[in-house]
Amino acid sequence: MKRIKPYAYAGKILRVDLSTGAISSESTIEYAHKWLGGRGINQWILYSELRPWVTPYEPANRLVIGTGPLTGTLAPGANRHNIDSRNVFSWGVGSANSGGHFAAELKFAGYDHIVLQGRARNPVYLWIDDDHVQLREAKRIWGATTWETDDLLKEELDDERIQLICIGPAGENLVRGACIIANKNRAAGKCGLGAIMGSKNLKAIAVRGKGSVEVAQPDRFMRAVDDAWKKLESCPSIQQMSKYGTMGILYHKNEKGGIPRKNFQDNTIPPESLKEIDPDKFQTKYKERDMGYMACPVSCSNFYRIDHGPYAGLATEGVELETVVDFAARLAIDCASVIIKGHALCNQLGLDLDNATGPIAWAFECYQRGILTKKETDGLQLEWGDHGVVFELIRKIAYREGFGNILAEGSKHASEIIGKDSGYYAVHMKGQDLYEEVRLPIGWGLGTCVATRGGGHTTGAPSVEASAESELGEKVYGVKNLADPTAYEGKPELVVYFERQQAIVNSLILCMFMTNWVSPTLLSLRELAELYSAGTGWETTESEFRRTGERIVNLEKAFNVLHANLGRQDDYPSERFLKEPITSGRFKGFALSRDKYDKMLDRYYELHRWHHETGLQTRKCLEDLDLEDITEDLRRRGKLAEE
Amino acid sequence: MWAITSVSKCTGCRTCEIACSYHHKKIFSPAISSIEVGRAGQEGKFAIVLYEQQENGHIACDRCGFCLQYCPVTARDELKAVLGVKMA
Repeated sequence: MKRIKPYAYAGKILRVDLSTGAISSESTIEYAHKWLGGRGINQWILYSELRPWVTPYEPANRLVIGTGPLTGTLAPGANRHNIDSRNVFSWGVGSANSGGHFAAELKFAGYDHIVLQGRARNPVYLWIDDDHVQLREAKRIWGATTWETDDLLKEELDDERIQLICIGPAGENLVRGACIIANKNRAAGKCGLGAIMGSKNLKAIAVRGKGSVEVAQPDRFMRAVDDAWKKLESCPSIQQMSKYGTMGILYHKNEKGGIPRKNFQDNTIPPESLKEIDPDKFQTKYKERDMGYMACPVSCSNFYRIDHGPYAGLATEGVELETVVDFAARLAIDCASVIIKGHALCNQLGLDLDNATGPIAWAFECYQRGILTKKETDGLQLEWGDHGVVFELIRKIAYREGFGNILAEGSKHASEIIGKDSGYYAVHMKGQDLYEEVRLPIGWGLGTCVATRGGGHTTGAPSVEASAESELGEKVYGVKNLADPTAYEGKPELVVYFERQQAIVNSLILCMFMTNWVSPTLLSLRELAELYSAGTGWETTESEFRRTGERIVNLEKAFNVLHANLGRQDDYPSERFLKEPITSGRFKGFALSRDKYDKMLDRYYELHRWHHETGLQTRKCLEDLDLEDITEDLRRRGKLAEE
Repeated sequence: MWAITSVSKCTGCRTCEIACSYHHKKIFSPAISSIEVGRAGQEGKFAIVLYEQQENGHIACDRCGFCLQYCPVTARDELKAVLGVKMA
């Protein structure tokens, strides 16, 4: 008898129309061969169902949540969900993912993806209890923080083991930097996805699944799983990450000048400040335990408890390197307990840390330069390091109060409201606040600048430049100049390698820390293809995966062109990075060359088989990837490259 | 019948749950596992529930120790003690 449910996948996509209350499902398999899962399927659903005139907050927009074929299994790090929609900053690709227990629970309930459309008349939440799916009134939890929402829904549904994702006040108030939170502290942070959820009057999705995930060839699958776990447990970079989390590379990053101090005015945290936020201080004074999620061999998340001082009693999980950089570097707040508090505050309000601290740092610099005064800031004095003012602004952003209502737009849009040369200090990519240095390493910068979702180092920026494993890395990635972070040559090849790989990693979907993004000794597409083949029973090779990754990158590129009119000009770093050299750290004095960046971009487009000057996609490239529909859409809009 | 043990090293990842169901039935499903990780009273505290007899779909623990292989290194000894098995 033919098996109806496919292996590895749950087999169904749940569709919910919040306007009509209609709930239905369809088969995942129609999408899976071409788009894999997670980000790939999510993005294809958006491309095929949205028209360019649909704006992010309109009911017609979709919010798509995706797991992948490895989710819920012992494949290491396969506990993440990807969320996609129109980007509220650029109106192009919106995509973010987070770890937690939600994704596996959704698979156990029988669904690979959820597609949400429409807008509920009153606030609701979606309750998925295996096959029983319903929209329930959320009046009681509307206005609640994400932490309160998590507790209240577990109480209302009388089950500690339900898993949920939700928004906080920031999402309800359509703050552009609003995120979607899982397990109280795991954020799908970028692109304003929390605001889109808020625009649909959807407070939360709660799920409880009692089913299973089955793989096609269990013994072969477990051999691949065990090989992967062994690699991870013996990797020194992973061992360091287990202890400190991402914070473990703070000194390394600081020494190289990769820190955006005071809104990118400087490149390092001074030694006396660094002492106050030393990762060992977090460990010894506040860390209670390691934390992790399903099938995670790393446990990079730390759980902190503050037992003295003004924030005594606060307990929270997951202070990342980015949190430290956001507060200690961008805003010059050099105090570990205050950073933990700031992290918790943003998560409770449902605000992405980077997209909250970005506009605040911009405002502080504008205040420093006299562009902003107390007249515009509701009487607040924006003095670097004043965490009380920073926390007040975070609150004002989440509730869109006074000056916070302007900052809630993100620094690019805020600078357009304020004017007076403030735009120069608004450091963003494709309209979304940028949270990291992009002048060096060169490949990191290129990967961040061309990212389809608007900045960020998770879609193509390589982390492996200038590492101790450069020699091995050059062989594994097939590139040159890996050891030299200032070299331009070889970097487009490196970025293209990781763009295609990350598209697969985000579609399977697992944590990128499991992969050779961290170290050339870790998992490559070859090992991931073996896990997928054994899991699904569909034999797939590394090169087929690379092609699928290329297809997903091309899909997103076309979405950005057709929906947001993004082009070559949007793949450059902010003007500030092209005018100002690096001010401190090992590469002090280094200036990004516009000419060399131009040539590097030409080469990057060429490698993608796009037009080397315009960056527009070519018929040959798209048709090779079986994307004839997209070719035709681009041709009709005059956005197909002349060949 | 089940035993609940508060634990201090457990990361709350629940990987043991799916390792357990794989051991019993070659599927990944916490609903049939002999072991469960739950929140113990307050945030960041965990407890391990061990099903010693079959109950509500959960299969009785046979002390095989398969879950230990996938328990994070820092928590493995603690889980071993909870299970009362010799480490593989």
